[in-house]
Amino acid sequence: MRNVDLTAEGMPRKKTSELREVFRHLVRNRAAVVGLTIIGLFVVVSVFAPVFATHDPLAANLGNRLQPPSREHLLGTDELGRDLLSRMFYGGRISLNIGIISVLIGVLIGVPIGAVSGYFGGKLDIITQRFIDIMIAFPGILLAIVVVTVLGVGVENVMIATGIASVPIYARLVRGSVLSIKEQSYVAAARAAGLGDVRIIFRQILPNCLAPIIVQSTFQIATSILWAAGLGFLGLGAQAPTPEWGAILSNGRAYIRTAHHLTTYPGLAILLMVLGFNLVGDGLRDALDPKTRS
Amino acid sequence: MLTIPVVIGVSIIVFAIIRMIPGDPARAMAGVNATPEFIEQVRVRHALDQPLHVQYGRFMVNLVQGDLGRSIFSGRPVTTEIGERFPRTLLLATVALVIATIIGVSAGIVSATKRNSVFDNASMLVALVGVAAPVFWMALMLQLLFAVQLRWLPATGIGAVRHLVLPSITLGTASAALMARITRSSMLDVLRQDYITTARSKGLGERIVVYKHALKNALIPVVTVLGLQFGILLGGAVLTETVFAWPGVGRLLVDAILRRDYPIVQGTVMLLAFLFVIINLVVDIAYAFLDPRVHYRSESGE
Amino acid sequence: MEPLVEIRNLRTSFRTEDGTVRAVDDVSFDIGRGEVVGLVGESGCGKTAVSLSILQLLPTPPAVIEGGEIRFGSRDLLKLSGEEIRRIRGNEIAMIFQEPMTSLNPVYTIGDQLMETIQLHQRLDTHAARARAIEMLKLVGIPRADEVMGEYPHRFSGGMRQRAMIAMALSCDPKLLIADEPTTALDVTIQAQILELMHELRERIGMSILFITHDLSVIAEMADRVVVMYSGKLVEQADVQTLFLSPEHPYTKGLIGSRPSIDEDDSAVPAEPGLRRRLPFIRGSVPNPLHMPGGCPFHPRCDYAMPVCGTEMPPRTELREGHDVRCWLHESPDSVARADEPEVRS
Repeated sequence: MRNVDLTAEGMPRKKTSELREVFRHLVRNRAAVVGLTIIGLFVVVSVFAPVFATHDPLAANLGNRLQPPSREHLLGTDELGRDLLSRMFYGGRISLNIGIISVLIGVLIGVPIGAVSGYFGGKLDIITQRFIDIMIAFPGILLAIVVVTVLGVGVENVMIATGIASVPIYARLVRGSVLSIKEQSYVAAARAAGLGDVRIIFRQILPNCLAPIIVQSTFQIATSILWAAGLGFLGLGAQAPTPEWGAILSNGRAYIRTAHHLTTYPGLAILLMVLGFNLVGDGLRDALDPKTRS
Repeated sequence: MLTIPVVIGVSIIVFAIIRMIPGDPARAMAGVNATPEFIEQVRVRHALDQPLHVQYGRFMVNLVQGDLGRSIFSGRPVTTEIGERFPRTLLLATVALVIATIIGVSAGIVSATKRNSVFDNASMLVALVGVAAPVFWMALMLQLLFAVQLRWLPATGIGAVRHLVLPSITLGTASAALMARITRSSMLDVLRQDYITTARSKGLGERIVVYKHALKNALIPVVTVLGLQFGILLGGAVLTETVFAWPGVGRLLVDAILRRDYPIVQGTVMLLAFLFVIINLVVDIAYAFLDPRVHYRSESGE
Repeated sequence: MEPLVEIRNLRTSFRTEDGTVRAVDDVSFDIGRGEVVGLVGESGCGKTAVSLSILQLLPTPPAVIEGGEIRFGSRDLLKLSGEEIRRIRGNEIAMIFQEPMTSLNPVYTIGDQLMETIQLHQRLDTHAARARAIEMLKLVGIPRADEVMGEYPHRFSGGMRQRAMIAMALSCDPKLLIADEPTTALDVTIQAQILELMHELRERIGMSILFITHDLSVIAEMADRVVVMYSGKLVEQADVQTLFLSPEHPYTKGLIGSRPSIDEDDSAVPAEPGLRRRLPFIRGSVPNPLHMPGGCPFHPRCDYAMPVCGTEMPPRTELREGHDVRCWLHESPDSVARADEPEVRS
């Protein structure tokens, strides 16, 4: 769980030139390029999983159990004789989906809470903040575990649980940005021009909170993937036979002495994907921060 | 500090969770194979037939008296179950935090003072991987290497110090990585400050400049994360304890969720939430200790 | 008597990603014993780099002292080892800085920071060091010196912090005090108090001062002699009277001309009819240090620029005892005539 401290700059700027500028800074950052490459590879493999997969990820072949990596099965087979690599291709889809959808849930709930709380202030703000304090008091994975307890296991519920667990992070982040943007002169000007609160929030304030939200979301995708894998590992996430990486790892545990490829490779895949998003997140933070962008 | 409202808020949430579970809470609490009579017994014992505010009142009264109910699985009081396991989790998390702090902060200091050196680049790379590696995978890989292949350390269990080595390293890795990154950036920031030039202009040696004048300032943001880290460690303990069969509260919580042992879930979550509140309080105090300006601010308002 | 400090051909550069910036380029001047030398110039002209080069306080990298000599007594400061230069810092040569708000360490008490310097350089036990620290605080006019010892810097105003900095700098009786814009960040009234304090302490202690500022009225008040820098180069030096009465370099003239005169009775400046005549502000702006113009760096802004100015840096010309200028206008008595035909020189 990482929080980003970025305050939006003075004035709303032109979108396209700004985007190009950010991109230019990003590709000059070697670590970020590595991250983008990693993410790109995972996205391609996930989208074209049916093309890349050499075997049916769910087809058991009991005569072929726990095979070490070979030419036929590049990463070996699992306890039911299923091809590990093929399962991992599909698992990448699941992890990416969980990461993205849980962040969408977090943004869709957290951003409005933070925006309204910061913009209107007063009692509403105080109550919201106390509530967020409470939620932040729980480490994310525990919060996700608790939510899964209520909702039940399964991939969809894991998305919701990790999404909810990230709500307080967004709410706090956006509230902070809104508090500083609210004081800017162009917001006062919009208010003086008779614009309504809703319009001001959507037109003037939220676009200027975008930078910190984007940076946080990149990190949050990584965090959600880790949380989801943790839930899968505990048996509280994706259920058999879903080829989710955490779940694959959890099943492979029993065979760690004889067939450690079942634990090694899924873990490496999670590590790489998380690393990719973290590297891009670091790069984006620097690229979007006017201080480091001299 | 808003300790009390937060604790009350947490208690409401924890209370609500059990009531939010779809279906009949009495049935859920009684267990899968319970007879209708037993379900009815549970309903009355836990006052589940009463209105919600009455139930919450009872829950709070019991809580204040230290009564968290009984485990459905073992039948023992929740406080006993937790009391037995919590010290083990605390030990694991504390050792992990100490290791993480020592390694992370020293690596961060060296990285900052020897910026762009081989050490700096290597340790920042390790830190990136350390943050990204799933904790349960780290646990399994360490087991594989040190217990299965090298046979240096036991894979699971508790008792001796050597049982503690792998779990605490596993648990501490991500924290050490994060701490190294934060210490480094904080230190780099402090080393640019005017008062560091002042200290050098006084003729102080580089060691005193770094370890006396810079470090105390650089540690201020590190302490904030330290508090957060302890929380994250307790969360990570759930996974680490599972892999290493370490009978702490993390393992207890997961088992309770899998067995639908809701009184245990309720009690564990309540305890953990309470801990976070305490940790935040300690962090605030540590802050005032490190940074004299905090005192001043709290006097002049806030 | 030989001067306390002799700076000869000092060259200091910053290696940045976009290229090398020569912050100090071939600067030479002396600081006499008990003398107050004012070092003036616009921000970015290299005056702070000169002061930090003396004690080698510039961060390396990116800074590199490329050449020259800084003689201090029998030693060349640039040739000393790290340990040797540390024994001079804070002891024989002390420094105070521009930003009193950020120059004291926020997490240690004033007393800690004062006693630290004293105990580092003098063999005093804690008790004696404390007594000395209190004595210094009293000397710089801080009331309740005893209590102040245990207080943290954030409780102090800017003026008080600067007094504490001065106390710290003077606690080991330095032979030279380098004051880098010590009053710039302060209110006007506080500024006057600090200047007065420095005046008084100088009379009392008799140390030399290198006073760095962009503010000519401060120079007029404090300095015995003035060194003017522009874009890393020393362009003119003279005693304070001469410099204000008859500045010779067009840049110096511009500086004196563009000094806002709030008070007509500014007694700090020698009342001379010629000086009241307000010259126009210097047109243009300081050149980008990465793209320094060829020749004299001032020529793009100079009203008297000649063809030679754009191609070659003028040499140092001694107009009279203690008054040097680097300008083609003064290269020799008939320099103007010669400079009209640059091909003669090239």
